[in-house]
Amino acid sequence: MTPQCANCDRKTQILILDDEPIVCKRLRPAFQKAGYEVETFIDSAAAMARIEEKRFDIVITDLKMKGTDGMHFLARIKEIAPDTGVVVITGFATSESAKESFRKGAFDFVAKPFKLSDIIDTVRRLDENRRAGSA
Amino acid sequence: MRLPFISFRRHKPAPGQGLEEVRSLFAKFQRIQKYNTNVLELMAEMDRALGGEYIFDRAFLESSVRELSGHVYQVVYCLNAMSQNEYVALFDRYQSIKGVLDDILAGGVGPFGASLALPYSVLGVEMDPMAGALNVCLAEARNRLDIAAPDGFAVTVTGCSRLLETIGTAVAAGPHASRVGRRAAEVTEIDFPPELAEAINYQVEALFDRHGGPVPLTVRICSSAMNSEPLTNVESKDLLDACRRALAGYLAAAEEPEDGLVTLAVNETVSGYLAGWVSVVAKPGSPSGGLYCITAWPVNSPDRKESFFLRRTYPFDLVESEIKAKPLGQPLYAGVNPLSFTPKGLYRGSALMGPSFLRSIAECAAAFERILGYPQNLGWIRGDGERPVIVNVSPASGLDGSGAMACDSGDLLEGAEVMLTGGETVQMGIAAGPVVHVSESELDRFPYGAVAVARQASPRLSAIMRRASAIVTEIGASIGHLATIARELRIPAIFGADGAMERLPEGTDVTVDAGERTVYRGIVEPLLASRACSTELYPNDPEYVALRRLLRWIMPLDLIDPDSSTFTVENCRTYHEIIHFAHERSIEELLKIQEHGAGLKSQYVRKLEIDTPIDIFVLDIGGGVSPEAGHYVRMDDVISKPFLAFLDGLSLKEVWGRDAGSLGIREIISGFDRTFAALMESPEFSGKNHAILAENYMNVGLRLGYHYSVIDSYLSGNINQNYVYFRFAGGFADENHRRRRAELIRTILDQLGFKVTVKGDLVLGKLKLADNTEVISALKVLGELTGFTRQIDLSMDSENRVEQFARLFREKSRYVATLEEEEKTSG
Repeated sequence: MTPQCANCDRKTQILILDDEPIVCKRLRPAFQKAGYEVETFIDSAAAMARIEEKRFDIVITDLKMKGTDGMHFLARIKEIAPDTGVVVITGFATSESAKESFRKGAFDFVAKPFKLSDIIDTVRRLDENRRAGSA
Repeated sequence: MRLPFISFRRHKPAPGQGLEEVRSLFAKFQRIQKYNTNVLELMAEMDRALGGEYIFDRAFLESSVRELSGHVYQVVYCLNAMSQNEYVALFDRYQSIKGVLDDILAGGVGPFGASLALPYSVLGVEMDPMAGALNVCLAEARNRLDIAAPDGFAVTVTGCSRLLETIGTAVAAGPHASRVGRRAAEVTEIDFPPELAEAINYQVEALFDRHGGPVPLTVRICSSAMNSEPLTNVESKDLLDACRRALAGYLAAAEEPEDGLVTLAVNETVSGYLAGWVSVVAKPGSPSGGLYCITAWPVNSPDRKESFFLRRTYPFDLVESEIKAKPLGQPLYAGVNPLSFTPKGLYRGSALMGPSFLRSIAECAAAFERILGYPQNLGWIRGDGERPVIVNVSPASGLDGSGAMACDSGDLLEGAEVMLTGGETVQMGIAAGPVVHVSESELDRFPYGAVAVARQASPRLSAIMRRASAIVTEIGASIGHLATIARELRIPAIFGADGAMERLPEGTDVTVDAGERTVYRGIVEPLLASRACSTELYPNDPEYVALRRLLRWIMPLDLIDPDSSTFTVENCRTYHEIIHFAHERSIEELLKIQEHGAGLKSQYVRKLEIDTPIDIFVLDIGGGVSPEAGHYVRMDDVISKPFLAFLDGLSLKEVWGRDAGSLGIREIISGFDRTFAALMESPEFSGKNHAILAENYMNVGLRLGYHYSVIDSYLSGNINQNYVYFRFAGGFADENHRRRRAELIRTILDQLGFKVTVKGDLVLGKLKLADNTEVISALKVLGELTGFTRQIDLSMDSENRVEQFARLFREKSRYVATLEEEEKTSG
């Protein structure tokens, strides 16, 4: 089944931000194959500009990046679009950063390296929660 | 470093101090085991990442290497602490490997980076940036893919840069303008840098040595843009000149030469009568992934080209061919005419190649695509062999429209029937073929291109991996030997998929999407075509390259046999070899535990109350005996798991009940020297039987009459760490009697799966890579054997006694049959 956004006909829209190109390169086809529409960014400033102009259903963001860090990005998304579900991914996971992410409204916090199937499952759960919440 | 004059005699510690020394030795040993486990787990995690199932980035590589290095350092430190710094040089090996790993992480080219020329035997796909794509592809064909390709060597980017620098200097000093075309004219006149000439000559000599004499050479320039036309049949005396001419040709063709991206391929010239290419093309009506297009021509008539179009999945069916009409009297190639008579007197025409040779070319193309991640154009030659020889490799340009291929599952999988889902991804990838249920007894018959389906991911299946297009097993996990092979060969693999044998019937065409852990019925062409936009980790991804380069200095384990003369510190070339070396040597240090003997005289030694003809004194170094135990240790007080198993066998009365052998005057006289020798060899605690115990460890020294045995065992629950060592020597009888007894013990241990060596009357037996159940059963048998062989040398008065007593032991033993059954089950 193709994931659809709540109360509309289009596919669920995902934005992925990670300054490591390999992460974007591999996550994009994985989510496309799972039926999502995906935009990827390796530059946090460009991603920040994009969320100002377009609503995404789900955002997957790295924490530690050059320029704007993921925590700031997460906070800004939640200001602009509180309904957007956010999954934080990081190679420098600590209990403090996890707590901080959840406090700022992240749906889940995933430490790298992670299995492709795990991140897809996480996003599916998030998508289902969003749909259930808006039904 | 240990000094020789103090190396063989340890100082005599004060009472009580010995116990601490023994405890400390064992604690270091346990630390080595712990760090070994950590290293093996980290290595497994890194190896698993290569399979593509995990998303990782550079930070993962950096943290993994940092953690690994820390653990390996601790292993080296503990070994030196155990051995009074006998292995200080191992720190140097550690530092050297760590330096290589740090350099790779920092973006350096590693230890081969400074090499001017490298033989194909050391090249791998991850070395493309320094050795050039063509060289690494030919090397991979030979080293990993079992595909025929010429032997040779690469003049590396470093080597070619050295030559280009010389050219630049010469041109700057010359009268010509700096235009590249003019510079090329001067290349043929410059002097070769002496160190480069030396490196090339060295490699040529090594190549000739491998082939038993001079062979004609081919020289070709490889750049990221193209591989040049080859200069063939070059003799060694003309090789440097050929290298100059190849470079001149490259400079003449290039507007501006690429900085640092040029290499030279120097390999044996392959002769043959047919040549051609195989590439991937899109034709109207062809499957979405395109077709293999094989063009061929006789080497002497390049204008007589024929083309063949094959499907890209096994069995590579011929879809279309363009065969030229041939003149009647002109042979196709030596000895083969274009027309032949049929039995009915009609003429039958021939193509340049038959279906089986076309298929073998397609197999090469499929193997290269799998290992490099993308389709490649392959230049091939047909000589006397049955297989094509691959002489040129270059990346295929993309198929028209393939880049716009939709990647969402709705488009790809419309109408596809799922036959199986589940299990664990071992290596991502998509492949198709007919299902073949693999039987370990018929591995030779496994056909090329089939999807292997097996009950268990047994290491024995390695034999079919080069022929399988994918593999699915019901039992198995993403770590282990077969998993590593699957990742090495990039064969899509799913392990642990319940019901695979039943749900995937033999002969059914299937498509395996290993990343999705799903098998579909039939050949799902859109899914196969989607490999171009897959989620895989590709061999040209920088993280893949870095990971493979790192693993090359971490994973390989060639230093295996601790009894070999090459098992030395100097030969530890990877982290895995360092920890394996340390593991083996730490066991040897532990075997000397009774040399730290003061502990055995201390107040902590207690007598074991046991119903056998021998007394055993127990020293607990941590969790081996209950804290409630009194001055005498009863069986109920023993906690040490290996010792409990040993006692179980030792206390079996039937094996002690054997009649003692008759002792003749000859044995008594010949025993005098043994008595003296035995007395001379005796440590201070001679005559006492000792057991040094921890919860999972025992070191038992038994002096029964005039023979002496040591049984040392560690039982950790980890198959890589468990071991049993058994050493048996001495005796009262003459040499022949003792030799026969050694032979008897060897026969029994052999049957139990021990690796046994016999030197005179000394028997050494080792059992490793055994699970807890096997170790416990082995210790029970050793307990029985200890009782059974007491003074048995006196009874070994003829050669046939060996077999008689072996049979008698089997009859009396309670545990031999159990252990043999476990050995058989574990495989």
